[in-house]
Amino acid sequence: MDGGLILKRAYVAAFFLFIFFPLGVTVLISLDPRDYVFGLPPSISFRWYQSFIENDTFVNGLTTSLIVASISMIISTSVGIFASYSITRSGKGFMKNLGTYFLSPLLVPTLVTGIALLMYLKQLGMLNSLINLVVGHTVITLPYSVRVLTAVFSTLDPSIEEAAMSLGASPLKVFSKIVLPMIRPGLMAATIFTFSESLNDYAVSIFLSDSNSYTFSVALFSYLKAVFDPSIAVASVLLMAITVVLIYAIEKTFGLDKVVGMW
Amino acid sequence: MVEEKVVVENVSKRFGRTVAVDGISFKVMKGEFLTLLGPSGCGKTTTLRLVAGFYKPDKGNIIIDGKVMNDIPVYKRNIGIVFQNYALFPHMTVFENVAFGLRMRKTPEDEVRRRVKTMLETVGLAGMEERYPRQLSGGQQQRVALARALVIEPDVLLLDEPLSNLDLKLRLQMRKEIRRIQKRLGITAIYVTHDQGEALSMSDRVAVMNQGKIIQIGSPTEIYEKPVDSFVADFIGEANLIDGRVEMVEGERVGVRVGDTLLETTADHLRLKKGDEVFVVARPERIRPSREGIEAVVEDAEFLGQVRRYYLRLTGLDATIKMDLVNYVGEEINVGQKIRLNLGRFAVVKKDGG
Repeated sequence: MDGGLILKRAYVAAFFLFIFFPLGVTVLISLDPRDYVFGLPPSISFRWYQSFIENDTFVNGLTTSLIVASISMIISTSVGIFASYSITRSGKGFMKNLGTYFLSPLLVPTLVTGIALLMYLKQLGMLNSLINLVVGHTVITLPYSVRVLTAVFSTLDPSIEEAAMSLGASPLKVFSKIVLPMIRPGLMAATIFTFSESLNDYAVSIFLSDSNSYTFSVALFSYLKAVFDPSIAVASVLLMAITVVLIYAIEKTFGLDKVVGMW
Repeated sequence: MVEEKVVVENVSKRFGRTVAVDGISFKVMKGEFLTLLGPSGCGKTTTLRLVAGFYKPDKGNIIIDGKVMNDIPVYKRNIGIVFQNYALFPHMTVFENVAFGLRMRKTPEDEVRRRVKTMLETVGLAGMEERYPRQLSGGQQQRVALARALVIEPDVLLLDEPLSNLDLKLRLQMRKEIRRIQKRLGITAIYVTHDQGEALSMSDRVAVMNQGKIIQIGSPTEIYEKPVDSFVADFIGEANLIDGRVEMVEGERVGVRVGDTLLETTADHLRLKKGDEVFVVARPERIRPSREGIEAVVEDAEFLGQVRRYYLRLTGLDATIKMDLVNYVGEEINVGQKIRLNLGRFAVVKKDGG
């Protein structure tokens, strides 16, 4: 083996260590039986998992997060389907530029989006924080569904739809019998992507949450400000687990490279 | 009685500032195979899409079976289309692909099974029902596309360069196949291609298009033997266009002077007058060395397999023409040699704008 290859492998190993070491530490801490965090755990215990489940703030936050993520996922993907379909099927001009418009929330820091939404929704007199959270999360997840779905639609051959039409399928039938079945994997990827985007958001959630409805991430941070014990690590492990499962599902249904790599 | 199945009446279509189809008219009779032939961008595909209903004409009428179709959407016209890239439904089996049109028409299930089966037998794909399109070769996919378009018994079958993605051998075979099926089912077909070989070998009639207009419409022989202008002459087959001037018109007989030779032919369809500037259209395969006739110098010779091609410079004229000889057994012809030519049967066309 020559030196260059060893160096390359060492570099990759170091890179993975850098990324995954903190995550491994988090998992270890979550299993620590002690009340404080210091060094390696002396033994393994699920005590903090127990206390996590008994903590109302965490459970409320997680429930809200799952509700918000599900609703904004549904809105983002259904809006995304029609937006992306129109964008890819209308050669150029106004509709094409609309694609950039839909992606623009990606360019603005989510913190800024959060503040802007807070002020705007207050002005409109919208005080229901659950609805506000759904609105905010739809804004930040929509770019992901549009991005994934435009990528999917642009791989479809328009003459397939024309063929269906010539065989007597109305536009609605063409969409339901031909287009939808063909984009199913991409659609799966879009829903998973938007769901995990929403679940992991903090910047927008912190501005739109209040004492009635707050997301899991917000509950976590406020707990962290008051106490620092291993239940935080439990929460992190939980979020990690959900994300890993979702990413795995994307990879299996659609291919992660297509979702992240297009455009 | 011969019915008019499709009538295109003075139809125009523009996209932005480009005029794609410019006031064209033609009729397709029941059971007829009409080909729209022309270079890319001539408006042939636009014309087909107008008949299909993907576009709405800006002017004029599309009439199918005596009914004006301008405002009828594609899915309410009874047409079958075969696309260049087949456009099969990738998530459906061969059977479901072919059955799709019948299902849209709410045909009873047992009739669907029967008709799909018969149609797959007709196109030679029996036993392939459960395959998916990606498991088929290009030629098989094209047969599925054909079966799918035909099983609904369309009023008219539209084919948009269906063979251009196949290799040469398969293309020649599919030409015959498509023509055989079309004749057997007695279906009316409009076929779009830029390949003159396809057009001449398959069609009842050919419409030659250029720049959004139909230049000439007629049987393959007519188009080949009596082109109406230099574009058609040049586009169909190989042609030598030689400058000439009409010197004599007597009924159908026309005398054309080329250099210092007077050539006689018949040209009834052109209304030529004495003094008209014309092109003599001489096909390379009809030109023969001769004792008399136009004088030329052999500039170059090429061996093309079955054919030997000579490039000849006409004496006293600023023109080089091609002569193709097959199985030539006469005197040897060498480069630099002076020979005389018999042009064989030739056509005359007016110069553009004349």
